[in-house]
Amino acid sequence: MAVSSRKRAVCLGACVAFGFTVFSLRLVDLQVARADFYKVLAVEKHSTQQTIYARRGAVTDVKGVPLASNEPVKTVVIDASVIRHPDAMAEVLSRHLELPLAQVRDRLARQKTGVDGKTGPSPYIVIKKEVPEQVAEALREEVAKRNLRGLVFEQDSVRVYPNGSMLCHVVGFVSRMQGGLKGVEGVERSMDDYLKGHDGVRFTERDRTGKEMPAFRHLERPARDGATVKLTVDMVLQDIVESEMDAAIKQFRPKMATCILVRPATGEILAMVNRPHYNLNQREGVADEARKNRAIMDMIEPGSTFKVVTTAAALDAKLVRPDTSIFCEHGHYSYGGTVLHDSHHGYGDLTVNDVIVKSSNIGVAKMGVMLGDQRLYEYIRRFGFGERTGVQLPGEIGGIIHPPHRWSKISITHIPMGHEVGATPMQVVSALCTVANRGKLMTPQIISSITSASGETIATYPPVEVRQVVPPEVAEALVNALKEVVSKKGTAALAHVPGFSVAGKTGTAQKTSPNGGYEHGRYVVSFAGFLPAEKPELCALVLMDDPVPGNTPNYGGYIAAPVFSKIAQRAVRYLNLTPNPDLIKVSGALAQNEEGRRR
Amino acid sequence: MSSNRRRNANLLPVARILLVGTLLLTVGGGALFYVNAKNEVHRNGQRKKELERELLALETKDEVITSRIAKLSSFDSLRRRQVQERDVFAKLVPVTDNLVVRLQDKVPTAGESQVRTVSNLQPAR
Repeated sequence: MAVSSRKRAVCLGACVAFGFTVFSLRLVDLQVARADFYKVLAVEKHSTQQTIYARRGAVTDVKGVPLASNEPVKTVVIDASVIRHPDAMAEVLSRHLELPLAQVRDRLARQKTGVDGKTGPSPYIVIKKEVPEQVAEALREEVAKRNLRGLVFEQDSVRVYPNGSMLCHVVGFVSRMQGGLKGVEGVERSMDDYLKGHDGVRFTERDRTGKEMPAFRHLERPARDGATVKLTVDMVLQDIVESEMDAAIKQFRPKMATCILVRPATGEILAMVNRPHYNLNQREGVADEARKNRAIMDMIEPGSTFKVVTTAAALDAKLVRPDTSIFCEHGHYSYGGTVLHDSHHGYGDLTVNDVIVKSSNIGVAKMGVMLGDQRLYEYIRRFGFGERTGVQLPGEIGGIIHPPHRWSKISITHIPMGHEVGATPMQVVSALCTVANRGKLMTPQIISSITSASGETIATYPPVEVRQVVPPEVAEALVNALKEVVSKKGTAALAHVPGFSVAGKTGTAQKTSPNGGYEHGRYVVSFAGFLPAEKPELCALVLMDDPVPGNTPNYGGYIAAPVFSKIAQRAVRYLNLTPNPDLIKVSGALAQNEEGRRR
Repeated sequence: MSSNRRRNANLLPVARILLVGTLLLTVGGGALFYVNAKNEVHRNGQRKKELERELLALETKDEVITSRIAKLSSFDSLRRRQVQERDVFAKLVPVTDNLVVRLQDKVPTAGESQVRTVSNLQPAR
């Protein structure tokens, strides 16, 4: 049966129309019905999200000397799927990276099973991390010269501390955690939010070979590098303190030692030294004890340095005047069923000034009794004991001051001389700074300013006055007494500094035993002082725990005070403080007297 | 004149040809320009990438050098060198008080020389 040409045309037309209809429907299905699904798929295939890593900010001293910075390093990676000469590559890698040849060969032979189930050479084998740039450069050159393929370098960085162990407890360190470096101790931890910066992000497209097409970058949010944290510490002063402390430690071999140097008017910490210490660049196997910032984490019985607080309280409460006479019971004072002794000699009548100068336990205990529990406790708290000082370092403790209802019958005679009190070295120096600062308690500061990567100042830390603890006249009277402590009639003649009037107080506290009571013959010796006494620029505390005194008397005035003197002499010269010519002559004579006395 | 004798000539539609030609040239030229511009964008992208890489390399080099300077000039390193290289390192003499000369700020009286007095004040020995 013949089919007419018209019918054939209609049939063909219908087939074509059907075909187009099917294609159209498929097109609608792809472009409309499942558009979102395919759009996501296409974006996943061609678009990628790159993280732009932010650099961690630096830590510097007050003059800009770097204390913590970044050092670029490379991670050496091999794409074994494109290697042509594995033996030659293994030999080059082994030589440059100082790895055993057999180990490198083993790694290069590593296989990987793909999603399709096929096993082949691994395209990503990490050979070594933290390779220095110069080593990586030499390796790159040789690989290029020998035309070896498959070597990839990934950029990375490590945190370095150029000064090693200096100021280690203040600077702290970082650790690699999920999401990058994180501050673990010191300023690295307390200022982590400023130092870490913020990673950026870039959405870009790749061609079919996987290469980035920079022309098709979409959204880009640049990385914000971490800010630079500037400390109040001056590394020259830190070096002076560290070298003098090390010399003293070599001589007296204490269990631990601390020295804090502060500018009293502002509360700025100029140097902070703790021993034992550790190297920030080699932290493996370091004992926890060495990592402890004892200046803010350790609690000690301050001993006689605490007498400053009691005397200030008694003067402010108008119970005594500097020239008020106190009978010191010739060295034996019975109170609450126990006998209190004076450690040096027995004294009869002493003025309040002389109680400080001679460091009489009985004299100060009597002032404590005059004050009464509650009033003494309030003054102690006003001086900042029993609470954190607020220094911008992590882990600070507040010390222990029990409230009066928990005191024993004899606490009122022991607390005034610095027993039954748990204080940090930072609190002790802060209390003395209060006297030096004519009664104003300042918050200790370790951070000077924070500057963004672009050089813009983000934050500054002006001095913070906590409170006026005692009126300036009371502080002035106390300064006069403390000046006499550093004279030939006081307990700290060896703390003198030629050309400057020094005020300070010694401390010799018997060590507490873990079994209760005190340990015989073991002491925490200290000296806290400031200069020039009239307008203090420096205040320092030198503290040594359980020194081995040798032929030297085991007192703060003989062990800690000379260290203070050496530190202060070098510090005043560095700070260009003008000496008083009259005091140079006096100091010379004083030095001669003291030498003669020691001989 | 009869129609048979009329001259049988095929006139070229010049205007139309010109129009079509111009259109084709414009479209073709535009397309070529587009392709060229697209290539230029890619080339610039690659150049940008190269420059970024160079910049990163320079920044890395700068950081490496800064870090080395910081290490070599650190107090810790200088102190170590002072001990280890005692013979080659500059010998550091501690500045004691008798080596210090202090200038005294003295207000000159009328007729007095403007030269400032210098005194080396030392502790009495």
